[in-house]
Amino acid sequence: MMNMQEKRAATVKSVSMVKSATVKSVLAVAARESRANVKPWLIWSVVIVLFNIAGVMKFEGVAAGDPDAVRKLTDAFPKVALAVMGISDLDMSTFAGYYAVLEFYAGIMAAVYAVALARNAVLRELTDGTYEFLFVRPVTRTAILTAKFAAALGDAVAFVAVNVVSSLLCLGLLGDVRGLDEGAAAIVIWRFSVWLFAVMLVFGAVSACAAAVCRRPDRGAAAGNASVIVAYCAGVAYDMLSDHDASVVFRLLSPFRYATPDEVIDGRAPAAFSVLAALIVLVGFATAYVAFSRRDLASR
Amino acid sequence: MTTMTASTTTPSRSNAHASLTSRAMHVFLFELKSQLRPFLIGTVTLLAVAVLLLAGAYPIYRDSKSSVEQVIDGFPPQFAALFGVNDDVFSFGGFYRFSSLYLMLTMAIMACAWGLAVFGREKRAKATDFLFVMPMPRGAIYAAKLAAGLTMVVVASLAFLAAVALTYTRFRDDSTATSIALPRLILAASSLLGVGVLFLAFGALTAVLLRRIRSVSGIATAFGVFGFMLVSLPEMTGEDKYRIISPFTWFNVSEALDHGRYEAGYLALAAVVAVACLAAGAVAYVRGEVRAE
Repeated sequence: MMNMQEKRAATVKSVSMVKSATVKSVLAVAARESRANVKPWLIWSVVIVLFNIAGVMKFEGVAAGDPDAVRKLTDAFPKVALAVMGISDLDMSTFAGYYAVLEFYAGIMAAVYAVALARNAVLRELTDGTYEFLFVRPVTRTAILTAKFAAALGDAVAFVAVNVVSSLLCLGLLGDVRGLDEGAAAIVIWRFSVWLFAVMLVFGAVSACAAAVCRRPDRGAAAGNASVIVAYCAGVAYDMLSDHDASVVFRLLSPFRYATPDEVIDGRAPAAFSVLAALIVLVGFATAYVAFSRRDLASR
Repeated sequence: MTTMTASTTTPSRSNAHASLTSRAMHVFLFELKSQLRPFLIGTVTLLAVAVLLLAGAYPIYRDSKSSVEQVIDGFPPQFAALFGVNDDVFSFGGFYRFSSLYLMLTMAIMACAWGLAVFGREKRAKATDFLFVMPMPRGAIYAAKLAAGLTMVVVASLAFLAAVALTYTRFRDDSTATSIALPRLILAASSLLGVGVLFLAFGALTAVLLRRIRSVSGIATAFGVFGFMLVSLPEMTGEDKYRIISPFTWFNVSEALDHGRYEAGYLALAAVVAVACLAAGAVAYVRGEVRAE
C-alpha cells in the first residue's frame, strides 16, 4: 500500500507526463501547420516584394511633377470625382500620400491572405477529409485551434515583416528625390505596417468565425472572402461620400477605413473605431473557439 | 470483303458518335445545372454593382462637373489633359471608364470561380474515377465542361451589356451624359466578356493543375485581387511596359471609348494567353493521373 506521499508523487508525475504530451502534440500541430503554410506565404511575399519594388521605386517619377499644381487640383475636385478616379484626397506628390495609395492595395492583399490563413486554420483537415487523424490526438480542440492560430499568426507577422523590410529597402535605394525626408518616410512605412497587421487581424477574426460557424466549409470560406470584397466596396463608397454624414455607415462596413490613410500617416486612429476593431477581433476569435469545439464532425 | 467490313462498321461507328455527343451533352447540362446557383448569385452581383455604380453614383458624379470646370479653367489646357480631364469625362461613358475596373474585378472573380468549380468538381468531391469511367474520352469531358463555362460567361456578359444599355437610356436626354455614343460604350463594356473568358481559363488551368482545391472562392478572390492590383502598377508608375503582366489593362476601355477600337496587339496577347491556358489545361486533364485519395 502506498502512503500518501507516494500517491501524490505518482499523480504529479502522471499529470506532468500528460502535460508534456499535450505540449508535444500542440507543437506538432503548430509545426505541421506552419510547414503547410510555407508555400502560400512564399507566393504572397514574392508578390508584395515585387509590388513594392515596382511601386516605391517609381516614386521618383511621380515626385518629379509639379506638386503644387497637383495639390491644388486635388483640393478643388469634389470627393466623388477623386474617389471615382481612384485618387482620393491624398497628396500623391508626397511620399506619405503615394505610399498610402500603394498600401491600400497591399491592405486588400493582406486581407485576402488573412482570410485564407484563418480559414485554413479552422477548416484544413475538414476539407481534406483527414480530421479524424487530428482529433484523435490526446488534446482538446481548443489546444489544437490555438496551435493552428499561432502558426497562422506567425505567417501574418512574417508577411507584414516582408512588407516593411522590402519597403524600407526600396526607400533606401530611392535616389535623390526633392523634398524626401527619409526618416519621416520610414516612420510612415512603420505606421502603415501596424495598420496592415490590424487589418489582417480583423479579417482573420471574421474569416475564422465564418469558417467555424458555417456548417458547410465552402460556405464559410465564401463568407470570409465576401467580407473582403464588401469591405473594399464600402471603402470606395466611403471615399466617395466622406463629405456626407451617412458615410459613417460605409465606414463601419469597411475595416480598411477604420483608420483613414490620413490618420495612419499622422499616426493616430479614432478611438471608437479602434475599439470596434478590437471587439471584432475578440468576438470573432471567441466565437470561432466556441463553434469549433462544438462542431459536429459529420462525414461528408 | 473489305466493303462488307466497312458497311458493318459504319453504323456502329455513327452510333458511337451519336452516343458520345449525347454523353457530352449530358456533362454539359449537368455542369450548367450544378452551377446554376453560383451562376445566378454571380450574375446578380455583377448587375447590382453595375446598376449601383452607373445609375446610383453617376448622377452625383455628373453634378460635380461645374465645380471641376471652374478649377480646370485656371490651369493650362495641357495640364488638364494630363490629368485625364476632357470634354467626355463627365459623360456616362467617361464614368464607365473609371467604373470599369470594379466591374472587371467582379467579373474576374466570378468567372475564375466558375472555372475552378466546373473543372475541379470531381476533384473536390473525390469522384474523378467515377467521371473517367464514363465511356467517353477525357478530351470530350473537358470540351463539354469548357462549353458550360463559356456559356455562363457569355450569358453573364450579355446580361451585363443589356443592363449598361438600359441604364444609358435613362440619361438619353442629357447632352453631358451622351457625349460618348452608345455603340462605343457597348464596345467598351464588351471588355468584360474578354476578362471573363481570360479568368475562366485561369480558373480552369488552376483547377486542373492543383492537387487539392480547398476553397474555390478563396482562389478566385486571390486571382481577382491580383489582377486588380496589377492594374495599379502601370497606372501609378506611368510605365506602359507593366501592362504586359496586367491582364485587366489588355482590354483598354479608354481606347474603345475614345476611338471605338481595342489595341490589336494586346487583344492578341489576351487571346493567346487564354487559348494557351485552356490548351495546357486540356493536356493536363487528358494526361493527368487520377489520384486515389
